[in-house]
Amino acid sequence: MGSAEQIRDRLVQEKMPIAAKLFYLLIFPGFLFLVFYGLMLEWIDRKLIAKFQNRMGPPWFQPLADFIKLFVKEDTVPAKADRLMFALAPVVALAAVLTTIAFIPVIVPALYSFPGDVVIVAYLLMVPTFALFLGGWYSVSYFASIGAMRAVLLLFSYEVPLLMSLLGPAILAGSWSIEGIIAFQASHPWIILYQPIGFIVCLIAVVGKLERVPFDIPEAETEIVEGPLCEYSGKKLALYRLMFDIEAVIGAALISIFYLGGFYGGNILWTALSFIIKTLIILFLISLVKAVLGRIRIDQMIGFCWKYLVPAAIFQFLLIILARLI
Amino acid sequence: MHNSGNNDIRIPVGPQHPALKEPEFFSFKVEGEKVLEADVRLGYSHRGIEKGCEDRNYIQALYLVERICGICSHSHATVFAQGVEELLGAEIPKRAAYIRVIVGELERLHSHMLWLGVAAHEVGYDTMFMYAWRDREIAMDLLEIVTGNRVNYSINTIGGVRRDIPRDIAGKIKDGIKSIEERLNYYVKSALGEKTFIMRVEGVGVLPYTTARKLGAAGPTARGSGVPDDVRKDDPYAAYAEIPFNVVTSDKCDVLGRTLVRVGEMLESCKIIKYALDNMPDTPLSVKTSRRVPEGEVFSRYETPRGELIHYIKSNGTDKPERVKVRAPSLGNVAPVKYMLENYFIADIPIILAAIDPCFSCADRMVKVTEPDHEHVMTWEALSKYGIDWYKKKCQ
Amino acid sequence: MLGALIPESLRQLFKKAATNLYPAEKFPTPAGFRGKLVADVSKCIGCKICSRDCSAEAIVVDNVTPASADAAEKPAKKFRITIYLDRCVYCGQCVEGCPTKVLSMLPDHELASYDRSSLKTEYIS
Repeated sequence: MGSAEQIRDRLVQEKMPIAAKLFYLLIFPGFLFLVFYGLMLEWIDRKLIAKFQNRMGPPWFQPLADFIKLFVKEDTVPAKADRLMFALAPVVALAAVLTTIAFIPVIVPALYSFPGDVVIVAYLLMVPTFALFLGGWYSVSYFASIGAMRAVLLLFSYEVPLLMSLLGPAILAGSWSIEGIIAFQASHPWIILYQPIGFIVCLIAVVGKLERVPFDIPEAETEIVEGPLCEYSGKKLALYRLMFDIEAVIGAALISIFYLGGFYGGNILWTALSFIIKTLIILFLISLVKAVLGRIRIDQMIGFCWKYLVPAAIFQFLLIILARLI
Repeated sequence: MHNSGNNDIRIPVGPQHPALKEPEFFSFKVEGEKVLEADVRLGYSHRGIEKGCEDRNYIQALYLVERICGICSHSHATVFAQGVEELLGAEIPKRAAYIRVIVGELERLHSHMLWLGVAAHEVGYDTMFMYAWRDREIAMDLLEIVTGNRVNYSINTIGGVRRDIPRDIAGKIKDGIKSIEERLNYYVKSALGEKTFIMRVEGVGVLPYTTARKLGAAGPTARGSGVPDDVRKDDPYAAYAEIPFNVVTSDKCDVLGRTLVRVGEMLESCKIIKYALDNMPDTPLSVKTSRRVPEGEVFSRYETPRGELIHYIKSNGTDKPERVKVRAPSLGNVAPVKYMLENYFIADIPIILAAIDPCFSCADRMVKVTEPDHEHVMTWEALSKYGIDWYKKKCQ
Repeated sequence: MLGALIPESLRQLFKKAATNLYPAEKFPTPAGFRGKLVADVSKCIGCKICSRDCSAEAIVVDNVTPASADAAEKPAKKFRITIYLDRCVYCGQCVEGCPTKVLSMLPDHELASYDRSSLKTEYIS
């Protein structure tokens, strides 16, 4: 493995050539890798939940089969919908989620790394929610508009705890770049040991970002029939589903980087293994939450987030500030 | 009625919607997330069963009436058979009465288990749904062993029952009931104490005692508001007069109250089945009855898992009934559900609807209002076009 | 309490799934299951109690005794029982009502077919 590490170190020192950049964006860890890993994580999630519920889950190729099936189905657009916005919303959402990989180092150094890329990643992850809102709003259907409003209301509840729990490690590491946080954890113990409350807040807020139970209120199947997605079909729905899967990968990778030490530096094989193990641990926790909880109402959710989650995050901040003063 | 051009926003729920297990149409006037008014329209499952009974003799009509509903099928068959037996003046043997009770209580068990799973699913609590339906399979397998089919048991005949429950099958029933009781006690202790579930069902869909009485609520919907109505105690039929059991009520008046009533009823059913199996007397299974039923009319009642079911049968001396009228408990619960849906959130609509355990297949009947000179006959194509135009006009 | 199902869910990870892998595994149907209706037409006496009590018009009995040129000779009675499995509701009333035990129900429930005419069977004695 010596030659691979030499290549990687050389890439860090010199600027990457164009071919390497394209390889990064399209194959690894870019588009193809994200699609593959996203579908795999979706399968593991469905299989885990099936096991929790004492049944068999789908076979390994099920998420791929669903994706291909959606691609070949008929694509209908409601008569009163705005065709441009309706078609653009899933594409913009997927593009925003895919762009975040340019700032996140997965085994190889990130394509662009500079102080402040934490903020850029958090901002890019907000774009899919707005795209969901616009797609649902421009579908001109009752259920889609209610779902779209709920998606934005939910954004107001979980976004503040999410940002605070992402900034906590940044303050502790004294750096506003993701590579700086990883470098801090290379020489100190993992940040989860310093900020356990922050880890729990981050986990809950990421479950909200991914819109899974108990936060799947915009897409509540039994109440508003898939919410903003209810008028989508065919290729556009396939892109939305892919966006959710890839968002799960990015979310799990972010929590692992900020709290569990990341996956960069050192032996290539060991880094790859740590990437897989850490994302699977986060996925296990997220699936367990989905299996054992029910879906609460939007007003109860906003109450919960602002009464418990935000004070917990503020409390964590206070602890960090006190620790730095001492 | 629906979006007639003014500024109200009306949301349609139905006839096809993931919250509904059977087709029915609700129209809600909403403001943001709050429901201001609810409007109900039924009739999507009407199949002409009452008319079908008039062309068939009593034995054929028994099997037709049994298929009004899949989950209350034994209830419909028993109440019809009881009514005809009363018209004939026939008294069924004791063992037949006990077997009817055992099958009826097994049906109540599996129907309430289904309801528990469906209610959990409506609030997103899917794991409870999977567990409840897995445990329901125990009751379904028991029914298959006893009667020969999982649904539509056909164990009744006019004058008694068709099959016996021998000792080995009685042993299997007791083992099955024991495992169901263990699972139920587990649910009461932990699964139903889950905070996110309780947050969704407590204080939701409140129906006070006086309103329940005034609007004619039936079954667990009424018992969850403290109304102690139960046909098995008020007007005992089959062998219920000899079997000791309690009527479960709750004072909470909300969906949580109805949940607790149904779980309590399931535990009571287990006790009733065990008592009936131990105390079944040894008599023949049926009495021979004549095919022609003397003239008369009868009003026959039964406590289905959803409430009080009434069959009115009028006979005219031949072997075909003159008129059969069915009043299902879900029809009685429509007025309370309209009351309960108002002033709650859109997110509460599925669970409030599920809380009355709707079985609109039982409830859809037709009332013919005849006006002179207003009858005309349409061809099939003309009727189809008329329906499509009517819906287009309604949705504008 | 929050997360009341966590112990049970984690326990289920180690148990066998409750799913029945149909059609690779099939549960055996119990004795007395009301499945496919078949007839042993040699015992039929043509009383037609079965078709009179059927609520779905699923069984039709015809007398197909061949006419005999000789009025004095009485040919052996021949009956044709037609069973429509696609109309039958599997209630078993015909089986019970038959005085000579012509009809019986097998525990066979996998009767679906792409062709409706294959569900109509005729038995001629």
